Amino acid sequence: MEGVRSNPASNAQHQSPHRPENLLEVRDLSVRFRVNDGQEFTVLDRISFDIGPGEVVGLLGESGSGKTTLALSLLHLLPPAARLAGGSVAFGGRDLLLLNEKQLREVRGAEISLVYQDSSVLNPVIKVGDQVTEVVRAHHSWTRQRAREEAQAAFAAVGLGGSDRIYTSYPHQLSGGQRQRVMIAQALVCKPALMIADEPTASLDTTIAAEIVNLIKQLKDSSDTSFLFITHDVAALARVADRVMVMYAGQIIEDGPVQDVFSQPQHPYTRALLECAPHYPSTGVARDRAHRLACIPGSPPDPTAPPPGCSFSERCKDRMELCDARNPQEFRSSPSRSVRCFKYGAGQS
Amino acid sequence: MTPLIEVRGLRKVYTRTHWWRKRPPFLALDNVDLAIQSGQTMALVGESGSGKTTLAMCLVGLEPPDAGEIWFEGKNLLAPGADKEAKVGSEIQLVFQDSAGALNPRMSAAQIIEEPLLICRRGSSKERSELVLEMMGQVGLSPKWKDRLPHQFSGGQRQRLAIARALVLKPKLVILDEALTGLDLSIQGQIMNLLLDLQELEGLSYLYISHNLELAAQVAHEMGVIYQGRIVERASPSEFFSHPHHPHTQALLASMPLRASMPLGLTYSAHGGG
Amino acid sequence: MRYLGLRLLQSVFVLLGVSLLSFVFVELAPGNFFDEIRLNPRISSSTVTNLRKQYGMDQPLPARYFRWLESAAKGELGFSFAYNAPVGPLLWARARNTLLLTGSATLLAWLIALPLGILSAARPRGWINQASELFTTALLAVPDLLLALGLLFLAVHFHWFHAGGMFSRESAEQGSWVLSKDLAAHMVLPVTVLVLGSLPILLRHTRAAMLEVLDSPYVRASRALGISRGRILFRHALPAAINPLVSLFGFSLGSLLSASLLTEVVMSWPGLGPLLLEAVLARDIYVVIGAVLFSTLLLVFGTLLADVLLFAADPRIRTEGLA
Repeated sequence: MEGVRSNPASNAQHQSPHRPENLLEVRDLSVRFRVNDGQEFTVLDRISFDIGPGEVVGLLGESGSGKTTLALSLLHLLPPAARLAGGSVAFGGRDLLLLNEKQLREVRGAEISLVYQDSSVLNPVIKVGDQVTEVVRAHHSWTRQRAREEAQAAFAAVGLGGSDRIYTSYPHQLSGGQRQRVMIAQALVCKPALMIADEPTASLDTTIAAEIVNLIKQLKDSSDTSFLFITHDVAALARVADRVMVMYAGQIIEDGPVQDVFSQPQHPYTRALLECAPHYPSTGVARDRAHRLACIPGSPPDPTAPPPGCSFSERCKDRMELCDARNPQEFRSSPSRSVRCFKYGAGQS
Repeated sequence: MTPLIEVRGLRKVYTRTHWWRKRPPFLALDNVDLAIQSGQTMALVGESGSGKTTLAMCLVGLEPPDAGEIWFEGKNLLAPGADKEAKVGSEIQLVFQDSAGALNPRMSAAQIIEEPLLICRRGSSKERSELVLEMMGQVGLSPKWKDRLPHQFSGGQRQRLAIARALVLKPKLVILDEALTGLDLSIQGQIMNLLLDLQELEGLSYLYISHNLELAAQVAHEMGVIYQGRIVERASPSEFFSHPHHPHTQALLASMPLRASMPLGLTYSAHGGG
Repeated sequence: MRYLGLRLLQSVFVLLGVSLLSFVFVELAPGNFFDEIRLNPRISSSTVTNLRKQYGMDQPLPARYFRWLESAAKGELGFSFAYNAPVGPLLWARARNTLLLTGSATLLAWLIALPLGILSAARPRGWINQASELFTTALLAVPDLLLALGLLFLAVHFHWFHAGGMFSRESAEQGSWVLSKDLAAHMVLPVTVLVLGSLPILLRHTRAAMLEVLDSPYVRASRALGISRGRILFRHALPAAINPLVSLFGFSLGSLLSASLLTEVVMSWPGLGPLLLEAVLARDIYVVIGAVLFSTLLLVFGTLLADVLLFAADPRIRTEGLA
């Protein structure tokens, strides 16, 4: 595949087979941030994964894990303080990281689009309908009428069709759920191959969040669009994702089909995280005050002072001596699953 | 047993005029009744626009209700006589959701926690510093961080700071308005456990307002649903889940199959672990 | 509509208040118009007394004020002692000259500041920004008076343009084309001073407003959607940044009459400024009040216009959000 920086050493570390029909292949993506006093610290550490066409891949992680940085770096939208420190992102036969600004602009919004969590990404002084047509006209030189039709089709696809009122409204006149749908409309109006959704349900009420997740499921079923669904909402992923990757401290520490990972989590962090996910059995168990909620004690490591060994070892229940000494590599525990933990792989360096 | 706080018939109307146009008034709270016993937690579940934040504001005295009574420890808070405010104000405290917005970005952690003491003129300077350090310890913040500014803390730590500030005056009732929303899952558990520990230690009552059903159910002695300014359902957690009455409650529970689709295996057996 | 009505009512009150205050202040200033005449030994004191009576200056203040108010309501703004003419037409002739000057200067200043500000914000590290920053800082530090005097000096020394005045004597009898050219030539210096005086503030505000918007989530998201930088700048960022600029515009409109006083005096431009100065020094009360009133009227109008424009320009103010 032209454009992929071939580096035999790094390819050996990511052991998933290269499938020619993969939509997106990320290999050893690393990003470092510069702090004020000139120091640099690693935010993404050799991230590697694939996304196939029509696949919904979930990215599970907490704040500080680097998930948003990952989303931004795929489209080369990092802030000036960030620096790409290596790796490749193969998409459509090209390495996105090598493209210039003009070429990237063609990709963004049209082939890969990004949906944010916060609806403050809608311009407050432009009508929402126009904001969607803006995206169309940035990528196609169609007539205004045609662009308008496309925008209205996109609105219908996200469940906002049927009335002109919403099309001609301003963002502050719409509810949170409606704004989120507008953002999704913006992202899919040019029919991208891949949509990256960064915490799309984080700021929404539960029922509205459920509707948005249903919408994503609907979009997945009705088209060939792939999704990278970044969230900390475990249940949403259970409902809509095919595969899930778990991120911690800038690394992907577990990767596999969603049902497998959730019912038999391998990495101790995944296991602990799933325990924390709120759940209430529908059989109504009376609350026992002697029991406290599940949580993971401590907090993620300071990125400016990473521990020498595994980044999770401090908080890990199954901590071994080896864990403090070296950082575990990816270990393929089954053809479709991988995990970065010494419990599963003999210490490869 | 007389409840610690009892609300009867609370009503709040917002009139809105936009430039010269008059808009129909918005009924934020419509005849709200509730009661919380001492040392217990009531969870109030509602979506945005349901009036839950307005209720919190009225209870804390930030908004004057238009009608109704709030009885706290046998005294009617809404009866004329403004000085009651200063005394009762310290007994009911509020923790907001967005701690980054609720904490003064120019004040250090110690200053933030100390501020309520200064306002209520409690204790000497030495006593106040000691209390501040004690509070920081109680909420799990290292005393080394007392001079740090809010933006130097993580989200979970800021929330702990906000809780410390709320507790420094030793209130009897703490209203948590979406205080855990937006925090990472693993941190939510930590903060909730902290709140539960403090409740046991100090005999606090909580009004836990949220749109997140499950978390609310895990800590409440009683659950309520607020919808369009009214409390439409009130039940114990088990009753709530097994026999919901109001259609809105049922709708809320119906959005939960999202949760029920979680594979059983691991999670339920670990309920309460950690 | 009720809002507009209220604002108009407010404006009337403001004008009334200003007129009263002006009356009082001029009264409080020691001396009056007739002192100078009185000093002249050849004019008998009875003449002075009669003059005073004629002009109604022997009446107490409230009576005089109400008489003035009465006539102002009819459109007569009083009588100028020094010019021996009614105030209205006198003011208007001068005000026209001032408006010509300040109107052109304001227009020019905005025409320069807006694009320059936008470009500076778009490329904060580019040379346009660095240069304009240096330039504006320097200009802000120099007082208008100094600027005017400096330019005047240069003009005289190097025979650039015309140092002062509005028309040359020679062009008095010529046709309108020559007259206009002459006018323009005379306008160059004062307009330059005015533009240089107001440019820094306009430029800085424009740049600041744009910078803030360019940093906002929605502009960054537009980049993520593949929209070109140029389009983002003018179609997305500028509309969102317009608020503070509209208010500023209203304010600059409002100060059209008052901003140029110093410049007019120094450059001998026959505008409202020198008239006002003269009148204050000579205690020519009704001229003073008239001029101040004119200025206030424009200010009030300017701010009202700014509010109306803001209403039209910002949909967040114009339409209501969700409850």
